[in-house]
Amino acid sequence: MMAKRNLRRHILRSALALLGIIIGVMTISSLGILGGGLKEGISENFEGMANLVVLYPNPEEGYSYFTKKDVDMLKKLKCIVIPISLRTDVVYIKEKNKRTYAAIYGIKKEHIGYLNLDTKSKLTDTTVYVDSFFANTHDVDVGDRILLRNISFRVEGIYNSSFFVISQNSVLLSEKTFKRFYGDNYSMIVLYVKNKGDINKIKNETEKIMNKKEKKIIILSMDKILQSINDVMNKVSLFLMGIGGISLLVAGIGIGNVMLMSTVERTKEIGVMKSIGASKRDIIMLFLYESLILGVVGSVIGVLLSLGIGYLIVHYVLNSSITMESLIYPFLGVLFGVGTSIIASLYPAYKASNLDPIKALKSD
Amino acid sequence: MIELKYITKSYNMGGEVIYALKNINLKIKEREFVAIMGPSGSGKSTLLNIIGCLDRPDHGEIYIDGIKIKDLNDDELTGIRRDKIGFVFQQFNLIPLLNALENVEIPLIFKYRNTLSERERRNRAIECLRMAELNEKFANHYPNQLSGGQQQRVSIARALANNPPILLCDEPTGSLDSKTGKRILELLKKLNNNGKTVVIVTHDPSVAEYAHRVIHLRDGVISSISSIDKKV
Repeated sequence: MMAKRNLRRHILRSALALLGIIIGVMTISSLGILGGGLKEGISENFEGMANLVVLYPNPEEGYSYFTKKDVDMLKKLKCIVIPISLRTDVVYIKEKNKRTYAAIYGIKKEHIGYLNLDTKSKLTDTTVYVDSFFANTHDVDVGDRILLRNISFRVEGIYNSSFFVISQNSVLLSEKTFKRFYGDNYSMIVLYVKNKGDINKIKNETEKIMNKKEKKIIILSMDKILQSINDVMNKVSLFLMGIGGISLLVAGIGIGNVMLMSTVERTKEIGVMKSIGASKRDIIMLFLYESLILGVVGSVIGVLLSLGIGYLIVHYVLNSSITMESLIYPFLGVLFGVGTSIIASLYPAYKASNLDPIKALKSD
Repeated sequence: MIELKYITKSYNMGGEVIYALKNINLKIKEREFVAIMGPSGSGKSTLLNIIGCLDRPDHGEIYIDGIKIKDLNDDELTGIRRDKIGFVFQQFNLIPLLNALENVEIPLIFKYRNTLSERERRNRAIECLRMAELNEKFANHYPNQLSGGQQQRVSIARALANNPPILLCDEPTGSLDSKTGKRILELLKKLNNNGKTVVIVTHDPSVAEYAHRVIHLRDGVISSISSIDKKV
């Protein structure tokens, strides 16, 4: 009863303290959601690639491509071997009458499904795919025609590039078409391992087959990359929340200050209450209630705002969705917000409860 | 009801020890109305603080309602203040944020916490306001909307809330005009007739009309006791 009115008595001061808590909780919570969304967005891009092991020729030993023989040697392994060819060449876009460079990839039609390219249509020998970056940059649509070495191809579909395998600004050809233009060397080999748990085994066996005498190839597996990306993203989240933590610390100092001023101002009142039978505990509770109200109200408002902000950012900027996992951050925000306000008022409450009632009564 | 034995209290003021009370012996009977008078610095406030268990003496013993105060810890002392003693102050000391009724409810909250229903608490507070002869229509007024006399009645009602046997009044008429002050003294006398032991510290000589005994303090010692009415 009294706690609420005391807060109302100094409405502006309480509002400022409240604002501090709101901002602190909002920062922690929305940065947490943001970090979670960022991680989720990146993971989504990588998740389908966790089954992949990528092999590159080792340039340090003088290797720059794989041959058919290499591919055949790998076929012993219990996985799908996907040879991929790559050149850079001039692409002529008929509709726009424009010439540009693009990375040209060649891949067997049946292998496209393994590369997490986010495309559903099928490749034929007279059609090509372009990646979304290429399509956007040059305003190319499905059905447009592009020329490669003076032969016209219909753009059959648009895919999203996938890190480490198919780069941005690329055009995808069937292996047969590619060979017609550029011969049959492969720039990389991707191994699709059905069961993620077998990845290490496959890597070891690949090592034995290919790197017997010299280090002919470089082996890169996506699970390692995914893991390190996760590590980095966790650190980013933590850092962002640290910033939120600092603002909450400032908010805590604000609340502590409000409460401390309140004890000084209400010295006489505290003296009266002590003389009419308030125990130390009663006085402490009175102050804790006040800051608890500030903490709870501020945290709830902060969290509601952060959910709004978080949703907007995650949905429109990161293009992913708020995960259940991210919802732990608003919860943490409330926890920290309420905790901070309680801790900040402990000293003022203790100080008030220990006032000497005689001196307190005399003060004005 | 109240018994003081060899009470001594000193203060250290800039290295100099000042005795506020020296060897005070005093017995106040149940249902007695006692006025403590004396010039400023005579030690009367200190005496009241000691009787009110706000302060502890250096030497000597106090018994309140048969309880030896010396043996009590701080929490138990708080309990004595809450249950045995009602305080009335010169400046009324009402809590400005709370209306008259809520001010009276506060001691009940301290005593009963949540064991008393809100309605019961309200009824008791109204009962106390009635005993303090404050018109019920003022129950929802805030202290700054009340006159001095009305505020003092609220503060007396607050002192009555936990039905203590003792009322300790520190200059209860000091902030009031003489007419209003007289009305307050009449109220205290009436409460005294209804069974409360009343101790008043005052400068106001008209108190003598109401008190059974007037105790004069000077330089920390009792200089004289004048009994006005022996029938207690």
